Amino acid sequence: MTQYAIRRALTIVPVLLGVSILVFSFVHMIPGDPALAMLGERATPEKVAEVRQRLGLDRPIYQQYIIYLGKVVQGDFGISIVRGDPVAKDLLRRFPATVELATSAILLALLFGIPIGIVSAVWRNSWMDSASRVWALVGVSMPIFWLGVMLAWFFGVQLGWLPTGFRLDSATEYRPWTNFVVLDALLNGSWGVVRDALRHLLLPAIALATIPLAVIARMTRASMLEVLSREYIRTAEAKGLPQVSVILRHALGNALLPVMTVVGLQVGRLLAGAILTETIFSWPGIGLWVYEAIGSRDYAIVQGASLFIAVIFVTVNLVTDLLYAVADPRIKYD
Amino acid sequence: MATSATIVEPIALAAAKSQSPAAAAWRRLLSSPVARAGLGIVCLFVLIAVGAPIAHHYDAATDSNLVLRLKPPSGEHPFGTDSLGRDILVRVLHGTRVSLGLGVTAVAIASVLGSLVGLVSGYAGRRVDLFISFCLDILLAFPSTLLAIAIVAMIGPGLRNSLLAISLVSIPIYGRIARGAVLELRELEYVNAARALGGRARRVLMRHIFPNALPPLIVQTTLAIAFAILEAAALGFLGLGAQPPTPEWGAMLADSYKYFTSGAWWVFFFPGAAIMLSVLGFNLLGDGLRDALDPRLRTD
Repeated sequence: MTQYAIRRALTIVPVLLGVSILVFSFVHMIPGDPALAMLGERATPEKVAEVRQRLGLDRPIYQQYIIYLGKVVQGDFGISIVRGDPVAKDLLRRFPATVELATSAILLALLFGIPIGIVSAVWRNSWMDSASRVWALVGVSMPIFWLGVMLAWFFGVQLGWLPTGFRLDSATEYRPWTNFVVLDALLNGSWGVVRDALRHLLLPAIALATIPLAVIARMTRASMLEVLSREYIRTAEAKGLPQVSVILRHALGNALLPVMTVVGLQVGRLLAGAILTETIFSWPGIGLWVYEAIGSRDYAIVQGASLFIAVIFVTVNLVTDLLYAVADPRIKYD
Repeated sequence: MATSATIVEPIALAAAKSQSPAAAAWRRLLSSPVARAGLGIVCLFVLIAVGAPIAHHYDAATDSNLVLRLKPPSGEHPFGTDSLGRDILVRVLHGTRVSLGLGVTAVAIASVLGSLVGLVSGYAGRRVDLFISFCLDILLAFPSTLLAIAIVAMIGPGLRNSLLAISLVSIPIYGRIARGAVLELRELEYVNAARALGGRARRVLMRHIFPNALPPLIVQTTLAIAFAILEAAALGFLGLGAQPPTPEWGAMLADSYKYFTSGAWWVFFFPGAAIMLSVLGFNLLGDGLRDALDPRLRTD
């Protein structure tokens, strides 16, 4: 098992190198002179020359890449051209907000997706099954930025129940510690802040959870149907066990294995979807930051965030694979 | 003469009774209500995309009437008007051509390139396969929406560039499917027979392998169009796709979503509903096609 884990982990090294080459080449996709594009039309030739030199654009391309790789490995993701701050610093400062949002979304998706999938499979072809299948297809087809606006309008403006932007009310007092607002507030025992933070979290989390929820419900249903047709389930039923126990104790565990892989794949989608959701809800995470960077042509941020998210995505899929191997002893390690 | 007639007759009879695989698949497709709904929605949107410019001339550059700003839906303007006093129904209808066109073109490019790459990868030697698979793995290491956004952010916003980016991020899935199908098919007897008869690699690939790899590719194409429309709308929403005043659904949402605070729901409701409905149509159709074309892939 350890050997398998090491071998599997080593396979991501070439992929990560490839990813770094692609992200490195982003700058060279900019039409014309990248330095000029970053500084705008009114830049002086001296300033352009200075930026060209600072970015190393005056060197041969393979040298540029080696320098880039060397910096990235040391955690240097370049400097934001607009704000002058190191990209890595802002990235880490903003990441907790995105993680908080994405985690809430995935929890919502699991909490509702799995039961919907089970109900759908157990009462196959009933009206509940049809409704949940159609609903799952609607969910997969949902433009989440549209859903986000609709939720903000309906629950925030029409009904006035929930806030439609930011992580906390401006009046709420909060001292950042880990930058995970809910966690910080829980650790401090300040229930007012927890409540306020959760109220702000709910709408963006629902919007972001929609697609993973639909995917998880579909996968749970398909995998549950497969498991329920197995011999050992019939044996369990024949023994006279109550249906609930057969479904939850005998079938569910095995049915959830493929769902795990799907959840791993959804993490990447969530991080990309955060760009859209955070823009709608003014959520100060990586997504909103990238959106603003695109507007101000702050290419270093787009590059840094893309690399960061790709590395997370690849790592999460690796971890899912390894967990899968731990959970299912039938998988051969060769 | 008489003997040949007696041989031909039973075959002709058999052919009349049985159906061609395509006809059988079509019949299976139409027997599913889900697929029928999908087909209906897709046909409706295609009709609008083709028909709207013929039935009604629309010039986005001159279309604005500030007197009619943000009017709610009424008999005259069934979907209301936007912040520049433009009729939203007209813009949603004319936007169909832009959004659908973008999705279909991107997938057309991606499916041809991706299938080709996958076929070559599966059929050529080990080295070529390793190299191509590696390149596809790198593209798949990014969440596709993120990669599309990053590429357009670099090469610059616009319809053509977002088309390029969406095509690029849709290639790997085709490559994977085509490669998998080739690997499975090329070991089969009839492919060996074709090779033994002296068929060249290109002929074996195109005449014998490609047609049998087609069903999963057709299903994927329908689902990929759904995804591409969604992706294009997301790029438009972020200001990276079609530029104003082009009536593109995502860009229309970008223009209007901030009005949710003032309660003018119609400015963002209808463009978004159009995105959702068209994407849903292709997804329903894709699901139905999967059941109809490949009974092994049935979801239930």
